[in-house]
Amino acid sequence: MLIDDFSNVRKSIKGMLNSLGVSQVFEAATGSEATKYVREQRFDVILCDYNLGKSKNGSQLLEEWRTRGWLSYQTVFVMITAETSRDFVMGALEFQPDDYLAKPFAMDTLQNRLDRWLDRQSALGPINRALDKKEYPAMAKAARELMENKPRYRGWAQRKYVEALVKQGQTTEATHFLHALLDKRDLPWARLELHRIEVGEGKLELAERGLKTLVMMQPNMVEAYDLLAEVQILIKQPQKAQETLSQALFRSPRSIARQRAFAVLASDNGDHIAATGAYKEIVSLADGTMHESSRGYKDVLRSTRTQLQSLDDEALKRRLNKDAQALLKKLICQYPNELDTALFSKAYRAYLADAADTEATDPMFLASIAQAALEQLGELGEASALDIVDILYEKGLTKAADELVLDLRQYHKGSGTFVKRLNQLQAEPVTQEARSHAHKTNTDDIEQYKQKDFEAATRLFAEALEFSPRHPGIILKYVQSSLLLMGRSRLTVSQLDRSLDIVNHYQFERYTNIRDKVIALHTKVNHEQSS
Amino acid sequence: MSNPVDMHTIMAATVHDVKNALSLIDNELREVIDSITEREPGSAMKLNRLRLEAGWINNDLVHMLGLYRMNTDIFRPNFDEVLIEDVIQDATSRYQQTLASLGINLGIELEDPDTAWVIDPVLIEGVLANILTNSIRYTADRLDFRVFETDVGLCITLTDNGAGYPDKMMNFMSETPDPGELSFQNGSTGLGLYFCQQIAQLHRQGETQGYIRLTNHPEHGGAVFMLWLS
Repeated sequence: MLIDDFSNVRKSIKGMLNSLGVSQVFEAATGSEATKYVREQRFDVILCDYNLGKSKNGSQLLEEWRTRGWLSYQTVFVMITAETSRDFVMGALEFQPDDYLAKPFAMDTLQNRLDRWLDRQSALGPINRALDKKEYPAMAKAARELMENKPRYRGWAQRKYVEALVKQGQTTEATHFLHALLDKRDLPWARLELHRIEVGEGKLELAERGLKTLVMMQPNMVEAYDLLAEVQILIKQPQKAQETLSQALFRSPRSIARQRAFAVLASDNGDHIAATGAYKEIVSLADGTMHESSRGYKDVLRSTRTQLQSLDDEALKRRLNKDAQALLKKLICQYPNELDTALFSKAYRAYLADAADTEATDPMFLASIAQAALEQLGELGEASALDIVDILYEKGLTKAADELVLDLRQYHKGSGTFVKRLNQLQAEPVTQEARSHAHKTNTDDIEQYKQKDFEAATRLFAEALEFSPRHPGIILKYVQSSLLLMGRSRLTVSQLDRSLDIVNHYQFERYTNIRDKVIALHTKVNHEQSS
Repeated sequence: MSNPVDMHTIMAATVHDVKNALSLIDNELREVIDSITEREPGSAMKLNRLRLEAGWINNDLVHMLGLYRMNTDIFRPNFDEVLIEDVIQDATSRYQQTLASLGINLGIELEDPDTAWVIDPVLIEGVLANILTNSIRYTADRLDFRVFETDVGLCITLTDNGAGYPDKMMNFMSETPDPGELSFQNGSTGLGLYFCQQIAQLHRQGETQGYIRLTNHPEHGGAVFMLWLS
């Protein structure tokens, strides 16, 4: 099958194929046409142009077909690219085609490659047939036979053999086999598979060390970064994991799964700017693909809201608000029939509304959303439910929010993490008012503190912490004034413990990371200036 | 342009455009040659010379992009285990027509046709294409690729039957370990060899790393290019 959006290109390649003796050639101009064919029959070879105009690009097609299991492993998938775009566009993709072909190409090149593909595919036939049927013991057996009988395809057979072992859970055998391979030669893929097994077996430190070496030696191997980030999350180094993923994204930004993993990490790390950026990237990458859904829009809006909550810069806030409003309009327009989306977008409309939108600023509007949510608990997704509850609290509709939380808790009692989040929102409603109250108390405290009335100051800082428990400034001031109080021996042990506890802030690691970087840069600058 | 990095990036993008245009020109030329070879062999020969020139320009552009990447630290190899026969075929296929019209015979001989090696196939293909363009210019009427494996690594040689490398070039390669100066003395040929050496050195296994050697054939005196990969 030939996939290209230009009919004259298809005609010319088809002409070449015909004169090379290929009689049956299917043509497809768009991704959807190609998808229809690929689901109907098995092709020997698919030649697919990377750039398919407005339709999905070649790698998005390949991804969809592979993940949905529509493309037989017996088919050779060849990506056609402009000569110089290969390393820029294709360098680091998770779904690798079986081969690339640079265009324009001559007939002898095509003939040469066709012979090569068909010979390889016929040698690998028994393995791929077993893989298509998910018969892994047969696949392993076929791979062993190929290794012994056809030295030409030994490398391919070895990879398939490891894949078959891992699929059967025979990790010990796979590990032995990989070690034996690596003793002879350094093979990046074998290292990666070995570390993947180590991660599966919980040997995290070993895997972390190995993966760090691997990405140093093979800096374009994005799968190694992905796995390293997974390990770093498991060993509780979320900042490092975010840094690792950002390196992978620099090399291969077009993976939605990686962008999402990065956004979640950045959001957990409090880096809302990076998170919002990645969520926006997902929306634009998903456009027209199997990944397109209202979820992408919701993620961007949610992340923007978190960002808005922590901002003081009014001009920036207005700009973010405007962006969010535009996105919200698109969401409403593109998914008019999803009940969850309807409730979600109403809540966000109320949240983002300015004074001109009298309908949405009316408390009755929010109350009606709460009521509608109560009546459609089954249609409301967990993420949207949390958004609505949070917005209700933030806008001061505590009673309506409490009612909704009660019913949601009942309805989702199986889902522990969701109920936990609900309880958190209910126990700690961080509303805009609460935040400004904390700000005011904090300002009053500073006066007391300046007047060296540490007892009063400590009390007031403690009060401010009730409203804004994670505000680094208030935490530090509370601890400082407590310690100064201790100087006058009026501090209890429990106050001391609390000081230690809260000063260990969730942003501390981030601070030390930044500090280390600044020190390193400082040394470098000094060094350069002196030399 | 206040920011020099921007300038580099613009240059790199321009080089890419020129390279794409060049590849279209080359393709058109090939089609024209195909259609006139029988009627006008003389013109076809001239056009083939043009294609060879296009190949030279292409190599120079590849070197410029390589310099750009080394400069911006995005020169990163992608290693994979591949069949050496495939790499040599890919490097030679675009020259088949030119070789035929210039009356040059190309031989490819692998001691073991199933030899596979862990290399960056795109970079090595570039090295071989680079050397091939050079050898086509200086050979009499034969070019031979030979591939063999020893205890120290894999060796790919390209031998021609021309007048051989000038002494100055061979000495330069063996005596100065830093080939940077080479580019200034010998123009683009030197730059090409500098890149070949850099790419060979990226291929390492344990303590050893790849390298290139230039010699002349002990019997007929033709140039022998050797690429050792570990």
